[in-house]
Amino acid sequence: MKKELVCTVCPLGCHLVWEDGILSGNNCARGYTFMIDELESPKRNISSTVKIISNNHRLLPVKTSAPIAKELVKKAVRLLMDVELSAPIRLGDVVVSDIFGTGVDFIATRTIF
Amino acid sequence: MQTDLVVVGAGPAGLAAAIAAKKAGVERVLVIERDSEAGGILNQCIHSGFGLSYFNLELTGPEYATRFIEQAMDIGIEFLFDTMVLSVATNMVRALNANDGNIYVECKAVVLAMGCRERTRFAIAIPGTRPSGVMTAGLAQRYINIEGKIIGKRVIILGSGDIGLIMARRLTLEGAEVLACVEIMPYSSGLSRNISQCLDDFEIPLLLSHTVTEIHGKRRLVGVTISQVDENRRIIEGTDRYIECDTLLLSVGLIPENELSSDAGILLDDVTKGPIVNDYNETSQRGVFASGNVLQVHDLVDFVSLEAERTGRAAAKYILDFVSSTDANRRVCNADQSEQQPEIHTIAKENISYLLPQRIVLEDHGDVDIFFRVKQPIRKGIVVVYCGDKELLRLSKEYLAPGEMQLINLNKQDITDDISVEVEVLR
Amino acid sequence: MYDVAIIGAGIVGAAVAYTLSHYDIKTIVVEQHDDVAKGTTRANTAIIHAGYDPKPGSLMAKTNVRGSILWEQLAMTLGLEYIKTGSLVVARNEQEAVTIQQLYRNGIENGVAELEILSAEQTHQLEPNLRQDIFCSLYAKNAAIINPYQSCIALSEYAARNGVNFMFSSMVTDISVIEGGYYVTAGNNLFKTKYIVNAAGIGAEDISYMAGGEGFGSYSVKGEYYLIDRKHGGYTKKVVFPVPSTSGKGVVVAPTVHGNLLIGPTSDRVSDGDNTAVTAEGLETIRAQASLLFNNLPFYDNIRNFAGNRAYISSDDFHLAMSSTLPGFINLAGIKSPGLSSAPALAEEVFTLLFTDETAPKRKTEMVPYRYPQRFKEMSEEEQQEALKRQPRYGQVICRCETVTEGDILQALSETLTPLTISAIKRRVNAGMGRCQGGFCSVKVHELIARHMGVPYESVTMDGTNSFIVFGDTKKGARG
Repeated sequence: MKKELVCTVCPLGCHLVWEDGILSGNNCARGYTFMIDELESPKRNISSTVKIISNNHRLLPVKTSAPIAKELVKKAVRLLMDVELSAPIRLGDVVVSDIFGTGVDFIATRTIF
Repeated sequence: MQTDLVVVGAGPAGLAAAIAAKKAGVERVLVIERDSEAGGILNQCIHSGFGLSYFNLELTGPEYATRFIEQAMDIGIEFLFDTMVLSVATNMVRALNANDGNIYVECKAVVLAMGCRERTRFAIAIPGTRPSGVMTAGLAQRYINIEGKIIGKRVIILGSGDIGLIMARRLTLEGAEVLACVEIMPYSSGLSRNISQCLDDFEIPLLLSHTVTEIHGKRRLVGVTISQVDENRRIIEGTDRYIECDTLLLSVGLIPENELSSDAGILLDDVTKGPIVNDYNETSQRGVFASGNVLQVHDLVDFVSLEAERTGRAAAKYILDFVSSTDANRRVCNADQSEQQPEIHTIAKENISYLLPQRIVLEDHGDVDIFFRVKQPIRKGIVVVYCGDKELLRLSKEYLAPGEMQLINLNKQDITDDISVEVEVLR
Repeated sequence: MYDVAIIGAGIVGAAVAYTLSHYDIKTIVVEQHDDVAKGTTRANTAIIHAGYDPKPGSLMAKTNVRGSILWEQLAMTLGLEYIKTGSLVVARNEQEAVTIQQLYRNGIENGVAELEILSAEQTHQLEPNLRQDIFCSLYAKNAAIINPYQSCIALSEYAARNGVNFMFSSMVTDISVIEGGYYVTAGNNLFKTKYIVNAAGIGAEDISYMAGGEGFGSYSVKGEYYLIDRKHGGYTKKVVFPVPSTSGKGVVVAPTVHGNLLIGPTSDRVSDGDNTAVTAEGLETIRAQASLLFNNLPFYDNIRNFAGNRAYISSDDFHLAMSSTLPGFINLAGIKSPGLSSAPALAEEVFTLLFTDETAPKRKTEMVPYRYPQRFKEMSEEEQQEALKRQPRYGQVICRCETVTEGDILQALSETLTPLTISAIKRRVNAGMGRCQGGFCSVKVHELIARHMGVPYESVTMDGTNSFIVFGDTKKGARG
């Protein structure tokens, strides 16, 4: 089996080639893990926003605390639709916990007083 | 009002310069910001991808900004928010806000860190009507990530730089249908990883060697015509295609915002559109420094922070060694060189679009970093650095692209004449 | 029952409204768009011509020369952006120099003061960026540049404050002749009026036909433009024309009152008077034509392209007359260039057509004064301090390119006739008119309109009907 893809672990963007169990094109071990994940269960990080009640901000930016399964990405973003928080919120606060039982949370990526 | 150093702009460059200057011993540092908080454009860049080289961590824009904002607060940097700087001179900055009205700040030095603005559809003169629904990617990002507004349902993105790619994913995740990302060049200037995770993941086509040739719709956008272009970016007849859409996002380049600089009589570089600076990032106006995207448009914020720290330290050195020194004849870092010292210029030659800094000060020792960009992608090339006619350095490179800023480090002791750089293309 | 209904709130309609507002009569202005100055007035070369072009003895000649004098006075009393730059018509060869002589004689016959023929050397002294191979020029010291939409807004605002009714977003769909006047259906309104002044610009013929009146052989001619960054405002000091041809005054290179450089227009007949699209061919024509006179034009610092349509008729002159079949129905048709220059004088002509000495209404003894609000940027330092005391929001800059403050915008929003759109604010205070074209400030103007006027964010449009900017919230929050 042959698979080619761009590693998205870091901005280097290595061009990975997987051929019969052998990986080439990677510059580090993370490339290997990435390829295995892409073959077995691709995962993605998500950034989005949720509503917040505060003096100066309408939205709070959030992200996943770890990558989640690629097929859950769009569904996970929809979870944020009806969330509404009130300030203060601190960077790192959990906004939605345990997304679809993955153990991954949406966390705040900034502080809003 | 009095201070030692005024920093214009509290984006990544302004923050890093202010922190570095303060740490280097400048007593009072005042950052003047037109927005109501610090962080600049990072606040709306909610995606991750920042900090990998600076922090060795992948952070979102707000997280990256927070690290600098908190540090700035901790070490006692002063901020003036919602305040617009109206004019700049070495020892005086005039600003305006709603609380204090006109403000005159006396200072010893200034760091310009106003960032850049986006090129518009008019900068590239796209023909057609002028309906709503045509906006720059940054404005769209603000509407989506800060205001929380849906800007469109069927979207075409012109330009495949990283901002365009990132917006393709953001719009998709917020429920819009991104029909295509259109790029006039035969290659994308965005990172491969962004093409993969922002376009490929959502099956958004990337149309290379294509451009938008007409905008349609009298009120709201109703569609665009796209056409294929040849290697000289000329439209190929008969390739016109109409695409129905309600939104056209433009990610067609950034321009350093140097209105304050040019009003102050600071000399600008025709290519970078930023000030002409020496290796201290001091402009042609003594004691006025520049850093970040106001100086040159960077690819990564990490590089902005590093460059701004050097600038902040240089401004500190200027204030502490020169201005505060009683020895008025001592010259530390001054673009306006005296007659005794030869003025060293840097000159972009074959295949190089620009070099930065444009001047090198030889009154001290140490290293000098020279940044450059190539004019077009080059596979296998040799970067050759000359000092006058003498070859100083040869560096072989596998791949060079305009989207990736290059760096050469030279020792000042080796510099006796103007520095020129070229790239020899290997066949 | 109105005495006079003016159809169209362009520069001509506004000038008529301004003139009539000084009299004790009931006047209404009906406009299909949501704002004044949205047709030809919005997109033209913004010049008050000296008056040497039109054929001697024509209405055009008379009103142009008179209008240019009136504009100078209006600019003073209303506080308008107006700069008497002077203009040059530049000949490139001996043959064109013959036309220069003709224009000079025309001008003298038309009563234009301060005309002079300059040698190539004298011309170059005035405009060093002109090409070396020019031949001579006609210098008209009295030509001026103006802000057309500001002028139209100011005339209208003055009229509105002095009792003239304005009815916007009301397209006239029916005009019926009744005893002693007309029934006019406009939008959802129906009203009676004694007289009608048809100042509908490119729509004037349609209006006339609607009432059962005559045609004028109307058609629309589109003009496209480049607007160049303010940093090149000094490229020319004066309005510079090529020698005119049969298709008009040609591609002009002119400074604007805001310090930009304006280059255009093209001149292309279009079938759809609403077609203001810019074309690749049009832009190419502008670049080529302007380069016949000038070296190194800074097209690379283009900040906007736009186009406008002007009304042509079969006659070369303006058409201003009482309808031959409809009593009390005055038509203004074919108000192409120099329509802007002529507008105040045309309004005077309208008045004399409407009323005889016996029927003339009483002139009001007292008027509500009005001056166009000064922008913060243009105030002296003392005026700025005063303004900040009165309204601290003058200290909050919204548009960074043009230094427009929140105070300026709030002032515009408090005027009688300001519609709640981003473009209306732009036309009034210049926010978004600079090099970033609203990239930074349009979202702030959007917010200000919604917040201060208490209207939903989504309802704020870029420029009226259906030009929506956003379609609701990305996140519903607790409401969802």
